[in-house]
Amino acid sequence: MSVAADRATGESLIGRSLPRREDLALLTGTAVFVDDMRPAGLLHARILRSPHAHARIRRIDLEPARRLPGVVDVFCGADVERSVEPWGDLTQDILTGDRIAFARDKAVYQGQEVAVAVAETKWQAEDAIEAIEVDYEPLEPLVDPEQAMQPDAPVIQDGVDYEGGVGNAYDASYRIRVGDFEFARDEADVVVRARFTTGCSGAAALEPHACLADYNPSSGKLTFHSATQMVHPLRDGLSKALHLPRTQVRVVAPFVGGGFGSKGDVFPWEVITAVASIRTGRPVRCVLSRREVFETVPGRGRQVRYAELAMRADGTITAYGERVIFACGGVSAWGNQILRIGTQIGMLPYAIPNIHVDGFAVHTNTGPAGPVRGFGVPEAIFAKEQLVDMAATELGLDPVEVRLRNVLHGDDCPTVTPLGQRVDSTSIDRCLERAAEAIDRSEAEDVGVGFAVCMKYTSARHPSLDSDLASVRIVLETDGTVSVFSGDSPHGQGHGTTVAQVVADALGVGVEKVRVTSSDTETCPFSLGTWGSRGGAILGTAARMAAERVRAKLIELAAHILETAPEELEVAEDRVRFVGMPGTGLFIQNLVLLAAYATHQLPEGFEPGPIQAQATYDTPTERERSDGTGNLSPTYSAAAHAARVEVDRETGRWRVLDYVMAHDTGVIINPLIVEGQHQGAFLHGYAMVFGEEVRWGEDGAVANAGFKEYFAPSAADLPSLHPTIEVPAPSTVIPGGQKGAGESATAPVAATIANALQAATGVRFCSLPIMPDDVKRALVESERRGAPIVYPRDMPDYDGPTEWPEPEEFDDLELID
Amino acid sequence: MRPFEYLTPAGLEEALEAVAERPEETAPIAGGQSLLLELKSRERAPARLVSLAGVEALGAVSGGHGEIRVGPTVTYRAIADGEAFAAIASRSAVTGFLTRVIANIADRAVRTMATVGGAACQAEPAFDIPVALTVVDAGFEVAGASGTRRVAAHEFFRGVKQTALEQGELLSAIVVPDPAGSWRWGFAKQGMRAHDAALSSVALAVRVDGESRVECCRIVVGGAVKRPSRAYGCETWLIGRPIGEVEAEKLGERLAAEVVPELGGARFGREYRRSLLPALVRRALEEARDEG
Repeated sequence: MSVAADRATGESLIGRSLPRREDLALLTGTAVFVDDMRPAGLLHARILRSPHAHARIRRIDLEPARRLPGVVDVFCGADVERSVEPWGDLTQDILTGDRIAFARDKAVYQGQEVAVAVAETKWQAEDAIEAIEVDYEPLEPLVDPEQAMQPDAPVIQDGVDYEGGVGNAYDASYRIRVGDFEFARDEADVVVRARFTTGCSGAAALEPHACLADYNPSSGKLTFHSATQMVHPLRDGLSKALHLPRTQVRVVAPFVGGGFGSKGDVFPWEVITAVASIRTGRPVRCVLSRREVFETVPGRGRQVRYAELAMRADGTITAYGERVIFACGGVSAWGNQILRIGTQIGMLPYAIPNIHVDGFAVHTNTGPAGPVRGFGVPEAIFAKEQLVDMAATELGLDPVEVRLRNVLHGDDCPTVTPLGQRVDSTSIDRCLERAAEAIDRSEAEDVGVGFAVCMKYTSARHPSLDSDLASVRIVLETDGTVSVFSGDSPHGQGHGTTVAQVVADALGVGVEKVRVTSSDTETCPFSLGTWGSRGGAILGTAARMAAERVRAKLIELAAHILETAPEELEVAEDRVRFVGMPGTGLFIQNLVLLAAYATHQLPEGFEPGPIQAQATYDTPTERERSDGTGNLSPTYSAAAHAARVEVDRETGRWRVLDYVMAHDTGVIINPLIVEGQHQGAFLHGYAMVFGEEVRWGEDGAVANAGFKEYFAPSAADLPSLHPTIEVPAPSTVIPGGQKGAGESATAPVAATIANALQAATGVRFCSLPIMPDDVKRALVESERRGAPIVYPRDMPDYDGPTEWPEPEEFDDLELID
Repeated sequence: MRPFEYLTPAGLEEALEAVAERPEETAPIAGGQSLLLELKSRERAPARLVSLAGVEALGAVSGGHGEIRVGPTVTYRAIADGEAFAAIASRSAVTGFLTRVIANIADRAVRTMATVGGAACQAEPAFDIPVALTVVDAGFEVAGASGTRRVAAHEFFRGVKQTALEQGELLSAIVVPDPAGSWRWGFAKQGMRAHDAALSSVALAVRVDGESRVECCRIVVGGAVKRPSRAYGCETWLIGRPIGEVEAEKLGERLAAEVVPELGGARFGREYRRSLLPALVRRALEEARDEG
C-alpha cells in the first residue's frame, strides 16, 4: 500500500508516525555493523595503551611481539612519524598538534595509544601487545582541573603552543561580557551562589567504537568503514593525516549502534587502523573493548562552576556570573567548544541582561572530554536552574511563577536576547504552564517537586566552524522510484525514514518509492555529520530544497508535454497532474523515462539525462563574537520538565514518582521518532544524576571501566514516562518549521531532579551524580547541624567579585550513631 | 580470552578425573556467568575447561528425610520458574524462600545460565546465594579422588572468592535442611541498580514456638563482609521475643553495631554499607513475619 501525501484532503506526510524503516534489520539481527563485516584476508588490530596517566616513554621494544605466531605487523609512533601528521586543524580555533596517533615521548592519560599489533586473529594480536616491552617513567598525574590550573602545576602538553592558553588552561580566553554585571549584582535584592560540579559521564553507546580499513595496494585507494557520526569530516581528517588525496579515501558508516556525540571525531585508533592496512596491504579491523571505550573515548568531562545569580524582589533575574573550569583530559578534542556553546546556550530561556562568564578549558591527565548529548548545556542548566530556585526560595516566591516571569514569551518572538541569540519562536512559557499543571504538587513526607527549563540549539555554527550545513542529492530513477543521497551520518536517528517522508511529501510520491542512502563519502554529498540535533531541521531542509528543485524540473517537463502552463500543475499520487484533479496528467515514471530514453521530446534547454538535483542548506547563523555574544543557532527548541521525587531517608535512595516533559520541537516530521528521541534524551539526563560517571583515581587510573561499576541505569531503574506534551511553536527560520529534537530532553533533567530533591529534603545537591550514599551523608550531616546543608561542600559567605573562598570540607561522617 | 581445551565429561567420575588431571590449569565451568567474564579479560586463563553441563547427577533435585538435595548445576531459572522444586514436598517453607531469593537475582538472561553451585563456588560477597544457603544452614557435599565429604556452610565459605574446595574437587550437591517446626525466612538486599549484586544484604531464619516466640534463629549478613557472617549477638537478643513484637529499629541498631563491614567498593564505602543494615534487617524481619 502506498503511503503518500493526499493533496485532495490536504494531508501531508509531515507529522505522520511512520514506523522506522531501519527497525526491520535491527530487530531481525540482519543489520551489519563494523564488527559483522567479513572481508577476505581480514587482520585484527589491538592497541597497546599506556597504563599510566602521565609518564615519559623511555623505550619501546616491539621485537618480542613481532616473533609471535600470527603476527603480521607491529608498530608505534616512531615508525609513523614521517607518514602521519597531527590532525584536528580543519576546524578553526581548535589549535592542536596534540591530536596524534601514538603517544611518543610522553603519555598524557591512561589508555593513550602507545603501539599496535596486527595479527591473523584478535587473540594473537592481544598476545602480541602483551609481549611489547615499554619502559615508562611515571610522572605526577594531574587529575583535578583546579589543581592543574595552579601556576606551579607542571604543564601536561609541554610541547604544544596554544593560542589563548595559560599553562594547562589551553583555552583561557573564554569570556562573556554582557551589560554591567557588577552594578546589577550590587543593586539586586538577592544574590545566590554555589559551587557546582558535574561528573564525567560517558556516552555509553551500546556498540563500542570500531573501524575497518581496507587499502587496495594496486589502486592505492583506502576504503574505510567506521562507526562514525560524520563520514565527510572523518574522510578529510584521515586524508590529511595520511597525506592521501581525498579521491583515494572513501569513508562509509554501516549500521552504527549509537553515538550520542562520542563518535563524532577523528580518533587515533582510526588513523592507526588505516596505517595498518596501508602497511600490510590487507583489510584490518579494530574494535575497542568496553574498557578501552571508558578509558579513551571522550566523555562529558568534569566541569566546575562557581556560579551566582542576582534577582530583584519581584523575581526578575538581573545578572548571572560564572567561573567555569572544564577538565578536558590530556588532549584538546572538542573541549573548548563545549565550554563555549554549552555556557552560552545554557543562559536560555532567559534574556538575562547582565552576564559575566570566565571559562577555562583545562588539560588534565584523564581521558579526553568531548561531545555527549547536550554539548555542555545540561551542565550549565544544572547550575543555573538550581540558582533560580535558591533565589526564589530566599524571596519566598514560587519556582514556577519566577520562571514564568523570566522565560522568553512566544508572543514576543522573534526576539534577540542580550547575548545576541535570535529566538525566532518559542512556546517555553506555555510548556512551563503545561508541565506545572500536569505534575502533582501536593505535599507528602520526604517527597518534593522540582522544575527546570531549558532551550537547546538546533545545530549550531560552532565557534570552531564557519559552517553549519547539510547536503542532499536526489536522483529520479526510470521506474519512478527516488534515490536520495543524504550527506549526514545517522546512527539511530531514523534518517532513512524522516528524509524519505520529506522527499516523498515534496514530490507527491509514495514514501515506499523513496530510498535513502547515507554515510558514504563516495555517493553522498559533503555534510558535517549527525550531531547537535540537526538532522530534522538542517538535513530535512536540504532534502526539501533538493526535492523542490527536482519537482520544478518535473513540472517544467510535464507542462511542455501537456502543453499547459507550469502553474496549472502540481505533484501528487506519483504524477504531475492538473491542480486538484486526481488521475490527470503524467506519471513521474514516464517523465523520467522521456528524459532518459526519448530526449527529442524534451523542451528546448531542458537538460537530458537523469532528473536530479543537489541542495545544500547552510543556516543563517552568526559566528561567536569576542564578548561571547552571537546567534549561533538558527532556531531553538525548548523544554520544561517537572519531577516528583521521593527520598528514602534510611538508604539515601531517591525515586522519581512522576516525571512530566513539555516540549517545543516545532514542526515534527515523525512524531514516533521524536518521542523516542525525547525519551532517550531523558535517559541520558537521568543517567547524569543517577550514577553514570567515569571515575579517575588520584593516580589517574579509571576505577570503573566497565558496566559493572559504571552505573548506567537499565530500563528497570527508570521511571515510566508519559507521552511528551508537545506545544509546537514552528520555527520561522527553518523553512519547514522544524526544531532540533535529540537533546532538549537531556538538558533540564539533572536540575529538575536536584530541585525536587531539595524540596524533599532541604539539601541542595550541587554535584553530579547524586548517588544514595551522597544523599545519606547529606541527610545525616543536615540532621547533625540541625539545618539543611549544601552538599557536598558548604560555601561560606561570599566575599568579592572574582575571588571565591576556599570551600569547607566535611569531616568523615559516621552515618550511624 | 586465551585458547583452552574444552572437555565435556558425561559422568561425575569422568568429570572428577578431568579436573584432577592437571588441577592448576583446569577450571570447571557450569553456567559461566562469572568465569566467562574472567576469561574474556584474561584475569584467568585456564588451559582446560571442564564443562559440567553433561553430568546429569549434578543437575538433579531430590527431597526426603528432612533435607532437599540440590544439584549444583541447577539454574536460577529452573528454581525461579518453580520447575526445580515442583516435585518436592517441602515441610518447611524453605523451597519457597529460596525461590523468592533466586527469582530476584540479576536479570533473566543471567538467571537462564547461572547455576546455584556456580554462585556458591564463586563465593562473591555480593552474591545472594552464599548468604541464603548460609541462613538455611545448607551443607555442601564435596567430591574428590578420595571420596565425598560434607562441609557446613560456615566452613565452606572462607573469604572473598574462597571456599573449602581443594584443587581437583567438585561440589557435588548442596544439601538444604527441610526442618520440622515453624520456621520462617526473610531476605533483603540493596544494590545500586535493580539488577546489581548487593552492596549489603541480610537474611533471617526464625523458628517460633506455639506462642510465636523466637526459639531459634540465624541472622546472616552479606555484601559488606568477606563471607556470609552470622550476627550471633543479635540472634541471642532475638531469642525469646514474640516475633510480632520485635522492635525492628532496635534490632537494626544492634546489627549495625555488631557487624563490622570489611568491604567497601570504589564508590560505596564501608560506612554506607553498614548504614543500610537497619533497613535491610527490618525488611527481612517483615518478610519473615508476613510468612507466618
